[in-house]
Amino acid sequence: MDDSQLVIACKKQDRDAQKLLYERYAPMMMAVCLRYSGEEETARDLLHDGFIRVFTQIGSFSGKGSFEGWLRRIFVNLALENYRKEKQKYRFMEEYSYINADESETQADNSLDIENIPEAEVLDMIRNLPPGYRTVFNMYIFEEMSHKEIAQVLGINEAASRSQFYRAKNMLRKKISAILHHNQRQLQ
Amino acid sequence: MSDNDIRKGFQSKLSGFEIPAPPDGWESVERSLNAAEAARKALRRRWYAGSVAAVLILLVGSILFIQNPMEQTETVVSEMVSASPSAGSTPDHETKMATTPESVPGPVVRPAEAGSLLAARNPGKARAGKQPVVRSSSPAGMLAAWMEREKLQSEDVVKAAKPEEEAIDQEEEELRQEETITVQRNDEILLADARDARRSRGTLLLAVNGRGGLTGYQQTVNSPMTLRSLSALPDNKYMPEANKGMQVQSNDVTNNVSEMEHDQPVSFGITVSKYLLDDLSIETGLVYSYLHSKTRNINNNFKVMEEQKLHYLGIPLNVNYNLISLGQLNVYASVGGMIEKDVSGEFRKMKEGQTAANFNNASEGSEEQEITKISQHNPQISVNAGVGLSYPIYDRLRLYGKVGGAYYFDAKNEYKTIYSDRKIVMDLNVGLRYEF
Repeated sequence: MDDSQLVIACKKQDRDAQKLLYERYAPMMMAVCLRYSGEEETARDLLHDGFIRVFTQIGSFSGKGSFEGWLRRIFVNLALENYRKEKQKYRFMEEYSYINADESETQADNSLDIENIPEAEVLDMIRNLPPGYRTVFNMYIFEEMSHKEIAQVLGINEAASRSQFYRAKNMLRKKISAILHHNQRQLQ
Repeated sequence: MSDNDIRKGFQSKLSGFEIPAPPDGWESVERSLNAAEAARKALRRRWYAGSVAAVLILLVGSILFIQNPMEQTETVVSEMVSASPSAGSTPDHETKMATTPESVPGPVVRPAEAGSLLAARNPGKARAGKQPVVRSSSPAGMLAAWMEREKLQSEDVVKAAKPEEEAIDQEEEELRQEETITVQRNDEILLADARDARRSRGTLLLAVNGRGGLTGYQQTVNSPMTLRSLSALPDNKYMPEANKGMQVQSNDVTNNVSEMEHDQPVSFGITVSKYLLDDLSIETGLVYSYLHSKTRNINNNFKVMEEQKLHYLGIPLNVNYNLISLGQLNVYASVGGMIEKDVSGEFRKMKEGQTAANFNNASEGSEEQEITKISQHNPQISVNAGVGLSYPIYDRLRLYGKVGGAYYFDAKNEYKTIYSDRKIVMDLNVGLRYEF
């Protein structure tokens, strides 16, 4: 059963089709949820709530665009809603991370080459970013949003978005550099 | 390395990357979907039930209001005029009048009848020897017609509503077994929520309340009236002396004006409710009611006033059902009945002016007052229905208000009350309810 047939069956609230769709896309969406949320427990909740939203809103999918793209937007939107809700909680953590980022900035090199790093490790690097950096980084890199759009969605100013992306890059550079050095030492 | 290069690098690395989903992920989603579906159905049914209840109440209220306005003032023409004016003072005629059925007919004055009313009030144009005319527009006639219609309709409604109620019960049962969910209409977000906002079965509610009737009763006729119901005395031996006098005089002068007024009943009560199901509770308690009535019979030579106070205690039994919850505001419907018995009563009669005996001597006046303790023989049974709102004001204390109506069955008691004369009384019930 291809995606279009699955979608038609899901629109009729066919439980078997819904299960099939879940099994097909849940692992991919779990990766998206983890990339945004950082914590596994939150990612599981997002995955659950995201699929409920998919099955209740599937009637609005016209079938013209990519179903996977539509599905991913639902999960990304849900993750962003969750971030906005938790923003107050993250504030302290962000401030703490700013200090660490500033300190580490001078030590990082300019490389952000992840070609030789396994996917799981790349995902872990993103997951371990502070929530604000992680969110801006995900939106800019994976959703291809401009800093202006990110600022509007997150309710921050554009400069803050740029700043957080810059700091996120620096933190990732440091981590990539550490991983690469570690790998080189192991090879030697 | 530009931002675009970084973007390409990360996208190519992680696009299509998968992490195993939780093993019980689908089961959890399926449970929530089932619960969401059941909740949507239940919500839809509640809206339907609420809408139907509101429409029915509006309909019944409108019918009652149109057919039985709040302050019903009626003027009756006693077309009973003796053939010879002098015959009124003869003992034979007096006996004849005493055996005449209770003269409290109640045709409503309509413009078309105004002429006949004026004609009847004029002794010269009055038709002789005719019995009182009870027209189809009398309260008794209207009520009988209304009751007939209601009886037929209610039978149909009950038959039609049974399968619907069973379906709702079944769904409610299913709902209770599922976890509850929160539905956000705008975003259509369905989030699993373990919190249970519903009341558990067996929850007890204690309430104190006050109830005021929205409808009084007023009747104006030109035949003598008394608060004592002659229908309770089949042999009709009782005819208050003053009324006999009034009756006689009315035949001669036709200038008698009689007014009867039943005030809106006032009640206070304390009730306890118990939740049998999540939204269904049964309520009982003790309710005190105060009824006050008075009559006034006046003509050129005579004035008789009666005042009656009755104190009732009643035991209600109601079933309340939560129709919808709008935030913290609950909208509920209530149906039930009550049995009441008077615990104390007083009947006061004041007579001023001439009695029948000294009618021909207008210069001699008299004043008498008579106070008697009274009691009704039979308990008063009623059925009621209403729609109410309740809102929490502090912790578990809720303020509630209910608008409804009650139908009072004929208890065949000696003393007339608003229950016996009006039958259907609309009321407003306000109180405080505490949840244990």
